Amino acid sequence: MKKTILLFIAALAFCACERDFDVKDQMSDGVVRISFAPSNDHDSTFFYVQATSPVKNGYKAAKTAGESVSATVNGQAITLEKAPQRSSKDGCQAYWTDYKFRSGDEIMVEASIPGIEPVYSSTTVPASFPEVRWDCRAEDGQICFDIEHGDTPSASGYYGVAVMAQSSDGSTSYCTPEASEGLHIFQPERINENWLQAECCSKVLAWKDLPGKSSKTCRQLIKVLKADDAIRYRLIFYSFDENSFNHLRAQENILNDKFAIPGLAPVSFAFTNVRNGAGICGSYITSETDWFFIK
Amino acid sequence: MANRLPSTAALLLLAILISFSNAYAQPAAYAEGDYDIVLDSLDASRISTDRHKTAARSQTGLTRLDSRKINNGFALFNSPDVIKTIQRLPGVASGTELLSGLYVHGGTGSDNLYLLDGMPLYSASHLIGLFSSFNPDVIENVDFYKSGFPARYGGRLSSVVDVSTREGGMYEWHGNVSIGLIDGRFQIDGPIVKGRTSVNFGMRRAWQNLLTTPILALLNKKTFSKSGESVRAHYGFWDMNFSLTQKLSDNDRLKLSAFSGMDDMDGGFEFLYSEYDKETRKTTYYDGRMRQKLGLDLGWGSTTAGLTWDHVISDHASVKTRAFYARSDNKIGLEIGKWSWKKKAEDPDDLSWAAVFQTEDNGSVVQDYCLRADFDWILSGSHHLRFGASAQHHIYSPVRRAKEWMENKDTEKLDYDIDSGHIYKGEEIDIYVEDEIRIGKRITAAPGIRYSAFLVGSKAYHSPEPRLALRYDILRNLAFKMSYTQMSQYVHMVKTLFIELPTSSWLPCTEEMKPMHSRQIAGGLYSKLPGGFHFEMEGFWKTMDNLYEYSGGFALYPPIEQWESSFTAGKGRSYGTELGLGWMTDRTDISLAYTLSWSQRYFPELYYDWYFDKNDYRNMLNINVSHKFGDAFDIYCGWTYHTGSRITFAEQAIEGYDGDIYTEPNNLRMPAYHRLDIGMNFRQRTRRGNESIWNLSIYNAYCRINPIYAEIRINEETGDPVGKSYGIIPVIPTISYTFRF
Repeated sequence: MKKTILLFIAALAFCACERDFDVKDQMSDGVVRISFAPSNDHDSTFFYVQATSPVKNGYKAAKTAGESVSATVNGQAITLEKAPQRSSKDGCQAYWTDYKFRSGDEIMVEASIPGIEPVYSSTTVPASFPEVRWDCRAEDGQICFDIEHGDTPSASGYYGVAVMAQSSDGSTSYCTPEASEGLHIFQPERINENWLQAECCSKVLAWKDLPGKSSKTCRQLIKVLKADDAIRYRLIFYSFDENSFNHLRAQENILNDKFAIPGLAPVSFAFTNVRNGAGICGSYITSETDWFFIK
Repeated sequence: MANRLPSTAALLLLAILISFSNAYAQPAAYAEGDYDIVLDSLDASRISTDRHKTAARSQTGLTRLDSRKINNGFALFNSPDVIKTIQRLPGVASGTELLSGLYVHGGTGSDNLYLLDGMPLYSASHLIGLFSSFNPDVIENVDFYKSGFPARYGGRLSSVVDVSTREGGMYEWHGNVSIGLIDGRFQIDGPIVKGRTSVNFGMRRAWQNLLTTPILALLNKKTFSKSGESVRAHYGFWDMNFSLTQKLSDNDRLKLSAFSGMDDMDGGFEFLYSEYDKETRKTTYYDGRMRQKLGLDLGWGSTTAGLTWDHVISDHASVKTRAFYARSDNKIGLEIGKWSWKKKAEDPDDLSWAAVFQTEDNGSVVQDYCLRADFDWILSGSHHLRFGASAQHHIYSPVRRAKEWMENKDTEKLDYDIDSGHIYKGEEIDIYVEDEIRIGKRITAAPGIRYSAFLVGSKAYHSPEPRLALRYDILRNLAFKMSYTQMSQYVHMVKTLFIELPTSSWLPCTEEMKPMHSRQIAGGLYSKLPGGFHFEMEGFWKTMDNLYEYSGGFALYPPIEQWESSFTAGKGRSYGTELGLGWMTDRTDISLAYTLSWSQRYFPELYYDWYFDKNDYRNMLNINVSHKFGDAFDIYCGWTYHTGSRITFAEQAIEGYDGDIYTEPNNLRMPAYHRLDIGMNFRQRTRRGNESIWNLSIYNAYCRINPIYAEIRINEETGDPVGKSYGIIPVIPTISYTFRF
């Protein structure tokens, strides 16, 4: 009985008060979406370009054909070679370059598809992960990593760390870190984002180091589940540029955005730094430790 | 120390102005009616609506509402309401129901300074924004500033709502009793010692929990034995104002004033697990161990108490010294219990059961201790000097407790037990000086400067805030005014939801979170025309720095220990123009307020460029009409319109990718908000001179379901997108009876 009453009230409150309104005129046409993640951790870097499917046209996509892309590093043009199309279905065109990106490189990219406004974006490859001291110990079936790194009080830093495990047969996998307040876990298999190609940022626990702290170091405690003693580990440190971090965090937030759906909270907006379009042009630098065992 | 210096241009302008005014100021008498003379025992009947006087003040953006106007105005839901009245003024946006508040000149809603007898109120609303905390029965007048802030005000960016309560009558007892469908009010004031000591007491209380609690208890008693279900729902609010005034001498007066208000909402349900047999069509309920319960408990409120000593130093000078305590409370609790069972394979009659419990208690308390002195000194006919200082000690105490454990008949296992809290202490001092200078017959200037400093932990922030207001009388009843103000705010409203629930916390700026600052220029023409007409046109440009937006993803309650990392800093700007027109006679009052404005935000971690704010209302229009048909009957109506709130829609997708593609925050508008409110008062005088009033009010008279949320669906036939908006507030008629004695 009471359930019926509650359902009736809920229906009255929400369903009976539904109203249609015109949104088509407010919506934009299709745009160009690009993905580009220059880094020092792979030999070739891919550049993806694709026309979006606008809701305005009932998700009918413009064809990604006749596109042109260009990129410069520190003002010098670099060559982007067209890669064979990965799939006829997704309509995404891929380009690649074997340029070796380094910290401080200023990268600008442009892309256009006929009939759609051209897009452009830029990123500066960040400095390496700051000087770091770390320690680890096994307790209660977990491995606790105590990581302390230098801090720049005058500027924000965007950092991350991943724990890679290698079994005795040589196969490797990324350990899932435990979440805690103020830290973000970027998991590409959840994000489903082709910016994160080849698991380059898999299961990264990331944080933003805010400016203004009086301390000169920043400390993070990271926990992963401990496997058997035959497993050896290595830490991979990431230094993101602001664009990469914002994009990854926004993607993670969107997955958890339960209150925004009924309009009770701000939508976790998908960060983009692509002018006139969508996607991301963000860079990062990695460094890693040697393999080690934990008894 | 963080250095925040005012712009060189502003300082230069201030210096030139002060030099100029000092060099050319001529002693001259104040023109009658041009300046408000504040008398502490001012009787409500002596104050008239000051809208006509707007042209005569040097400040831009000031509206004074007196008790008569508030009490004779819109009695929505029984009580005339200060905030609803202010929401009808030009330049002020109300948001929409459930998300309503004061959004002044592109403000965030948490940047308004609410003062009750000079003491701050952190929470100024009841019932998710539908009622304000200000009891109209005890109010003497309200000064509302949206620009041109005098230097004596500070601590918030966007507006000041300065509410003064009435002292009790020194010679006669008066009061009123009001009973409405939603709430009841009682107020009484009078002398304790005639001519020396008076008291004023007012109280309001919501009724509905007195009805819902016994009804649900009866319902639960009847049905629990059958189905094992029970429902709990309770909401109530109350507030209380008290003031005691002691006239010590002709030159000294002591006033003790206090306010306390609280909202309390809790609800929940409990039901037994059951099994439905399709063949017999019977439902079998298991015993009390197999059940589930859910409870939610919310509460929020404010308390203030202060002692004010008014001392008249001479005919031209006075000082007001005040000590007060202010407190704000927010709490939200959650309780979940789930008893499950399974039959053992070897003995189906032996039930093995386990219960999982989850509790959460989140809260936030702010406490202020303040000592303040304000001097008022009429130096000459052309100088009116005000200066003062205050020192405040703030304590911010957010708490978060969460626990989950499992029980069965043999064991108890704790899954997690979080008990985190943090105490932030802040010391704030401010000093100010302002002068109102008459320069010749046509020019009045009000320069001022306020300096504030805030110490939190090992970090100190300070902020000089220059203020300037100028008035030039073009004609006798036509004035041009302009103002420049800088404001600072050292406290942030940390919230994860739009909706006005106690899930938010007030937290101070910290080492990593800087204070907010705003700069605003406003100016316009103000005129009082013959025949009761008045007219004002004002433009404004405002910028805001160090605004913070939640960017932490899914959380009902903001994190405490590292809350800074879940918020992102940005900027805001707002500009527009406002038009006010009106006609007022003894019987009729018609006013029209139109605002054309733009409000934008720039949060580089969310988007690379400026984008429109959620509360970017391009057009706002308010039309109010009231008319008295003699002494026995008056009627009023008001129509409110503003363009719809903005909302973010993902309007792109790509093949081979599951997620949505967003192109810009707040990219689409929901349908426009509009509603009509109507009310009427039937008045009758008794033989003893008392007054009885029947009030009938209709909120949202034509039942416009204004949207609070919208989504997009694709029409399957045409393939076109269609917006669907949802709202919940229908027409709400109320009736009340008031007896004044």
